Amino acid sequence: MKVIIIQFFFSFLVLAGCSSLTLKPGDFAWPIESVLKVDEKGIIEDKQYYFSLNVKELLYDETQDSVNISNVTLRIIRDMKGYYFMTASKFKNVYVFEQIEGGLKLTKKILVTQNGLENPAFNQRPPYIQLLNGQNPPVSLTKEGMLEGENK
Amino acid sequence: MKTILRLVALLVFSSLILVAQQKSDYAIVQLFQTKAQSISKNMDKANSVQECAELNVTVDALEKEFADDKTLLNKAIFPDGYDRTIEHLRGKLLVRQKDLGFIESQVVRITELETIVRGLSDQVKKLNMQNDKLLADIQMLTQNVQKLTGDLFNAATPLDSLHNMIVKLRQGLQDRDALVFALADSLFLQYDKNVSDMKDVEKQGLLGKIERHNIVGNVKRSIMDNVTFLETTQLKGSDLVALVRQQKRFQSQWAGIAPKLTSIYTSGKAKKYEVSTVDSMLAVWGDKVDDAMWRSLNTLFKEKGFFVKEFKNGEEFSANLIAFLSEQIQNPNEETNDTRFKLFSSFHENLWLTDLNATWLPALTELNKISDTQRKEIEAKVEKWRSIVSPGASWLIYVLVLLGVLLIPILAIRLFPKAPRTPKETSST
Repeated sequence: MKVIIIQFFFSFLVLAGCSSLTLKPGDFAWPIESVLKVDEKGIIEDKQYYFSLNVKELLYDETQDSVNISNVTLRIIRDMKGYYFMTASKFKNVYVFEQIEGGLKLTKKILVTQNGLENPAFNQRPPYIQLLNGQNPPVSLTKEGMLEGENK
Repeated sequence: MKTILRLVALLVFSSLILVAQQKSDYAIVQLFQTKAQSISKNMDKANSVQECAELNVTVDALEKEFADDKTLLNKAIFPDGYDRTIEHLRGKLLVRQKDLGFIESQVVRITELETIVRGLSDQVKKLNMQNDKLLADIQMLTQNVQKLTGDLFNAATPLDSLHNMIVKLRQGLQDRDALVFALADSLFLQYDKNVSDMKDVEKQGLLGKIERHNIVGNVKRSIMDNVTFLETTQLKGSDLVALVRQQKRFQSQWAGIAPKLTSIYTSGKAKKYEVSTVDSMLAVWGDKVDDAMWRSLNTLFKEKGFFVKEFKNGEEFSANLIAFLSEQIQNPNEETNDTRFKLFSSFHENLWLTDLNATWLPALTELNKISDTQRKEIEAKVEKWRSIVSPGASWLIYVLVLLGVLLIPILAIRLFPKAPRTPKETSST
């Protein structure tokens, strides 16, 4: 019995030592979007937040074209929870990413318009991300999609 | 159905307002940064006290323009943000002023003038828009009135709204005219010296400001609007006299700034002719108001039934009116006294007292269209006509004198009754 108790005690200590440390709450919201031009290699570079990213896959997903990528200007913003929202002019979708080791992983692809965005821009409007599209009414977004009642 | 339509219209309208209100935060930040950088670069280039004062006002304007976005800018621009960007700009300007050896009080004085200039410039822009709208509305309403009545609009047209609009526009045009000249004066005041004494750099600076605030363009626009107003409204009487006065005032104000502008424009080939263009436009406006004035006066005589020979200027007006009055005095057609008296009464009551003596003669004298002597001659003729056609007047005076003589004793008896009898007289009886 004693042996069992001692083993249980040690295993508890080991498990407690292995559990992850969580820091909460955090606010990762960028005050304004970044507007970044894709270079010929498909890479964007942000000088304010100091990161670079290969976005070839994203462009291919949206345009089915991985060749003509250097004229695209991507608009990126990060929400409070740390998700990245990306889109560009003529895109039909807004892409939502989360950070992973050495890159970003798609969590949601939000279809905004079938005709393609005219002149998109993101605004930080906690808890939402506001998407402006030319003269059209603005749309509120979350990582799950468009705010209910604002579907096209 | 109407209610539904109204609701739909309201919804569309409110959604349009909502769309118009949405701005990209990124665009706001970019605009602020671009403006701040441009101001900063201009500070490096500033060489005169006027330029420094202008930059001072520009920083104030930047601060005011983006005050509502202060929180966003403070977050988005790292490390300076809104507050420190403005602070840096002010500091940089002070250093520049010191480097150039300018006295602070001098900069402050010119900054105040520059603030006035910008305020006036904004007001001119607002009034331009307001006047354009009013003019368009009046033109449309006048056309409608013409279609309905088959006649040109006149001051007696029973359309209160149109008349109110005209009054409002006339005021708007006058205000704008005054503002344009006040703006020009404030610009020249900043330099505190004659244009001929200015350095080339100062002249260039002043020329830049004159063009930025579109002084000559606004003067031209004022003239064109006034001419359109004159042609559209077809005003008469004292309203028209007011327009003539306005033209003369404008001309004299222009005469004040035209020589200065000529000196400024001497260097620029294209701009050289700006002043003479305005002079020509002013002359056209002057001719048009004069034509309108004489046309209106000729019509006045005709409408009231007095056949004065048509005239086109002050000399002709005076001569023809005097000829008409002389004819009435001489009575070549040998009309009866009764007819002559009736004609004089009609002239006196319907034309002389109401229009000629009340409005036109003082105005024509003031505007130097007729001389004082001519006016007095006209007045003397009218007086003579009156004395000739009113022979009963002298008899009336005799009757009045006689009545007075009779009334005096009666009044005296009433006012001073007999004194009461004394006690002595009472006891004796």
